[in-house]
Amino acid sequence: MSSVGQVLRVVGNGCRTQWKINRVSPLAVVTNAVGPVAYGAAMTAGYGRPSPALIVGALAAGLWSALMIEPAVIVVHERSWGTLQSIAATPTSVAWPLIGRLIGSYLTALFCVPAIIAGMLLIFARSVPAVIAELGRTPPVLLVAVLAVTVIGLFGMSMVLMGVLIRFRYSAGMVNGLFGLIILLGGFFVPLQILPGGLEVAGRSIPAAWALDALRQVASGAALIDLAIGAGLALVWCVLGAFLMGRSGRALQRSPLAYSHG
Amino acid sequence: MSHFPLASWQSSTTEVVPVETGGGIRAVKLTRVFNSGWGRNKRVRLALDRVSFTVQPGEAVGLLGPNGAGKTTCVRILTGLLAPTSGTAVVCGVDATREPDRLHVCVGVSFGGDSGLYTRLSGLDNLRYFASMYGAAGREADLLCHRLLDRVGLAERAGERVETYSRGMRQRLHIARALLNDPRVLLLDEPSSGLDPDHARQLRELVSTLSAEGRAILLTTHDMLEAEQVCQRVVILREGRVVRGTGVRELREDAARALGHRVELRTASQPPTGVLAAVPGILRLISEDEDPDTLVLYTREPAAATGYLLDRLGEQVLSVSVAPPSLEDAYLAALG
Repeated sequence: MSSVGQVLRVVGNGCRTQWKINRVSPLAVVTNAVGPVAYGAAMTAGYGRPSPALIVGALAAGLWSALMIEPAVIVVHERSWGTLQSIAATPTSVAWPLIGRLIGSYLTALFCVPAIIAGMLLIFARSVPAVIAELGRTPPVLLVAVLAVTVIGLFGMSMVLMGVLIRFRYSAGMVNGLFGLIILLGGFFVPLQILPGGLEVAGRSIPAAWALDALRQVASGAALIDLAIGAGLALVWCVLGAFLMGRSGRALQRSPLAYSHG
Repeated sequence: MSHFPLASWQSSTTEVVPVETGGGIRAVKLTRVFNSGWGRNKRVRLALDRVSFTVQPGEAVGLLGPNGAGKTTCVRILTGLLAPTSGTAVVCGVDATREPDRLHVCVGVSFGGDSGLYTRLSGLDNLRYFASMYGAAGREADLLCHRLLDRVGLAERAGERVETYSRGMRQRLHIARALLNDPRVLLLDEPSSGLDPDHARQLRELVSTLSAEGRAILLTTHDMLEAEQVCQRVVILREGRVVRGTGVRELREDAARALGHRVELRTASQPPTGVLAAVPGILRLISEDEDPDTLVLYTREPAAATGYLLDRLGEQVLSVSVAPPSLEDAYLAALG
């Protein structure tokens, strides 16, 4: 069984490998930022002016835009390159290098954050003073915690997605429908309360929805409860994702075709 | 915990250092069934059918067979990448069917070809990445990777991206990666596939050296020259079954008895039919359409046949050559 140190080394190397394979592309940064900014502008037109929750939601949407397809890209690449088989032939679980690559993807996706902030400032220039004032009333710790829960929750969901993709060879196409669905159900731009009942219930399974609700309810004092629920859900997604990926090695052993793509 | 020792890499690249022995491959009635399709379209394919063979430490065994015979399936089972339907395989003393995860510590595998490497990374970065999966870290890992690259002749190109490597260089990098954990058992899946003759020869020499170090090597190949020069024994598969498992020399001797030796005869004029029909041990006679003065015959008694022809045809004989069946001939004969 791998030691903690070895696992961290493998994950770190996976992260470095992802960075070397997929360096930051200015084109990707801009296109991943445009969507969330456009959504934000549309929501602001309906609600008046951007709020801290809307800004954080736009950042989360940008991350999700950059990352949603990465689990599929990583798994398809590893299969196409034959490296999934090479990794499976080592004493290390296939989960750790792939998680490392996923983390690397998150780090490169962070480059779209400045682009989103810049886009928001450009579009909402007249509202910036008011937004800054409202942000000033938001405890910084809460803001950081909301961002952390959102990012960790998305990461956990990415791991679940990756675990499914490893298990089911031809399932990569399912990521196509996930962007819009998670944007809607994650409460990134609109609070879940305005969604129809079934959709609201489904959205409550997404950690970001609770975290962003926490930001919206700073004044009411219910923020900490929502944040705690969001954090718990983020942990659940991460554990589920780690479990699915940890079992992926066994799933691969059932078929020789599992290591290849197409 | 590190899974590999460094001691055996501290020698020079030209010195053969025996590795710790004790452990080979023992496959017993390995069977693998593949199911595909659903309902009325369901298909069942028997990829391996009770395949049994052994590979001793210090021995190189060639696993031969046509495409689809089950060679790669067999290698995957022996490396723990694929579970068999039934049967057992003990590799390095570990039951590959029950404890596949323990295999990876002592088994090295090279699937070869253009896949299995990160082409946007350098050769060194590839090795470092996989070395970390074997527990190597820091300076220890760097030392190991550099020594392996030196051993396979890639030291000068270590920092260049694999996408710039030739096919032969990628094959060598595959072998370097397979040696990261200093394995006692080495599984090489068509290591010389697509290589030019010079690179193929270099690869054969490397594999022979690895075998001489006491490792048990199982090699799948379509290259009969490779099998002949590197392997002591061969196991021939066809449609998932073992049709023959024997020493290379024994296989050729059996083929010689069955197919005969090839005698190529050039004469100044067409020999009388009666003379040719009476050649000792003759099995069949082939005439070369493009060169009517050259005859090829197959005989079980090459020495007697040659003497007979020289005696009866005398000065009409311009040249005569005798060749035993090649391993390719023997392999094709075994396949039937």
